[in-house]
Amino acid sequence: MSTQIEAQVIVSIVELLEMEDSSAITLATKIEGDLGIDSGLLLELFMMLEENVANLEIDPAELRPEEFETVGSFAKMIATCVKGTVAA
Amino acid sequence: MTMAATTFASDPRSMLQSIHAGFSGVDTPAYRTAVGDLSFAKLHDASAALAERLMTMDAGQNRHPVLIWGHKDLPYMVAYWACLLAGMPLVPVEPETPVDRLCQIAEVCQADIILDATIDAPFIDILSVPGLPVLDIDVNAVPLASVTVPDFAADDVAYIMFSSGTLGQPKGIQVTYTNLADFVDWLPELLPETDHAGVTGNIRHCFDVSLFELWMSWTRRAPITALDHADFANSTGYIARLANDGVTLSVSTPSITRLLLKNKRYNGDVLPQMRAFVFCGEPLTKAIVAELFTRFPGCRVVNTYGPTECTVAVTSVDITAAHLTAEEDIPIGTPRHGVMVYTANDTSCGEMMIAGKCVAKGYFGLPEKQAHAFPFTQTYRSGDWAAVDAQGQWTFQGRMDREVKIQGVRIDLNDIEAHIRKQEGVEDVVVEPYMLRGEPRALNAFVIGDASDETLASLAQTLASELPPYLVPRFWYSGFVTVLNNNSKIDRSHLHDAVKTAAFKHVHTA
Repeated sequence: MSTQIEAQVIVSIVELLEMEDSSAITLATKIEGDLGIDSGLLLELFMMLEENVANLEIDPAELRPEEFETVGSFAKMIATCVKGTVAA
Repeated sequence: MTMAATTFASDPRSMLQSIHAGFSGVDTPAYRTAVGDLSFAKLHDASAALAERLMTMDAGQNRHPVLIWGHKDLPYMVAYWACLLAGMPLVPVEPETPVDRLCQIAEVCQADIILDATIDAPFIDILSVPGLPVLDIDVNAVPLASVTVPDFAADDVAYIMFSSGTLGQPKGIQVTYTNLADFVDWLPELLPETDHAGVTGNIRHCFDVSLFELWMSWTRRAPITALDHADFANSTGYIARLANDGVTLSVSTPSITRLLLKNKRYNGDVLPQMRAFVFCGEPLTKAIVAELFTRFPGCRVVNTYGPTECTVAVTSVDITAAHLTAEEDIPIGTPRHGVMVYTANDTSCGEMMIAGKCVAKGYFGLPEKQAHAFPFTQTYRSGDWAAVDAQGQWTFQGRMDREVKIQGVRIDLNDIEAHIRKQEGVEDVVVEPYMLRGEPRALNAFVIGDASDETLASLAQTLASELPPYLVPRFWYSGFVTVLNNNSKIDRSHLHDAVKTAAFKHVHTA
């Protein structure tokens, strides 16, 4: 399940930053430090993920950028925002 | 009931006096942040008390400019009105301004006081600026007597906005009380609805588009619901506050609204009181208007245009469905009362020239720039290319120089390049906007010279210590193949490849 979230996070980042593909993104890639995602882009990313992931509800007030540095830790945070269980 | 047809512009001093007097004893909120409210009554008293303090100081006697250091906290409004009442030009400075630049700004405009309008512990460095005492603001203070705005001449300066300029001294644009009052005179014509019960606080106070929000609030005694830009990612929380506060008027740059529209909660069901959207500061796109028409049926969408040098905005137009289907871009509208707009070549397409009472006093101590930009009495050369149709409707066509706007902030790419070129080890550099979905979102710097990840990081660091954050490129590249154009300059059209081929890269985070 969490790998599905990871994949969705990466797909959404590729869309957000208009990248050609996901080859430059790994779980260790830094959201701000490597990708340059600032608070405005982060907000867009939240909204994109809410569109792309079923049952996902993000309360941005509870997610502070300083709490996740990498794509991997970001995906972990997102996984905690999925309500109920997600069908496989 | 209307008063006799006198305008504020004919007597700015009595405008300030009467609007301020209208706050007295009004216990409804004037300014609302996520942590509390400031009532009009408190704004009245605390600003009068602070004005009293300022006027007894040397700086007050000499009517020197005052720096207001802050973002969106309650004391900001008190500081703003204290300066207006004391007849001292106010100079908004955002807290992330590097100390060196703060000192430069103070020196350029001969300010000798900083008002600390933050509620957190002040940025410690500002306390150590020699010769610049920092005054705290007490939002609960009461004045000893009723305050009398000093007499001033028509061209005395009400506020000074500092813009882009990174080389030599910062560019301070001086706007007079007459310019300001002339702008306030326009508001009832632009937004005649009498039921505006709340205004957004979207815009930073260092950006003059915020004057729409401030003066709509103050002339209607409607609260401002302030957006803390550090909290931008939490648009859900801000939308909930807009709903709770019954905000009816949104003032924004297209960039801010585009971000809010990313949130599906930004719609007329959640915000049923919303009546009108006023835009300024950047080209308004059809996509944004179409989305607003769908999500907020029946709301007005008003586009406006104007440089800071002409006091916020000088043209306006109500956007209709017909504008969306037209071939042309969204228009910027027709001139407001008392403003004349024409092209420098007297044809229907050219550099926009703006004339009238709206034209500001101009720049501090930059005679060459002043002579170029203000070639005749009350006339401003905009540097904007525009076209006018048979009905007198103007459409913005682009900048004539390399100025871009990111989040509504004017950025001169040539200026930033020149600043980077001065740094050790840099042979040449090209700065270009980082574009996403056709909009500039940040800056890319392509550096030619001593290359390594470390040198890029230290370049970024040096720039960050000297310039405001919005002028520091986010993405830095070096070690790429350069293609020269016919003029033997770096061919900018090939630079998008450099993003992929660069051997060295650094991402600057604020």
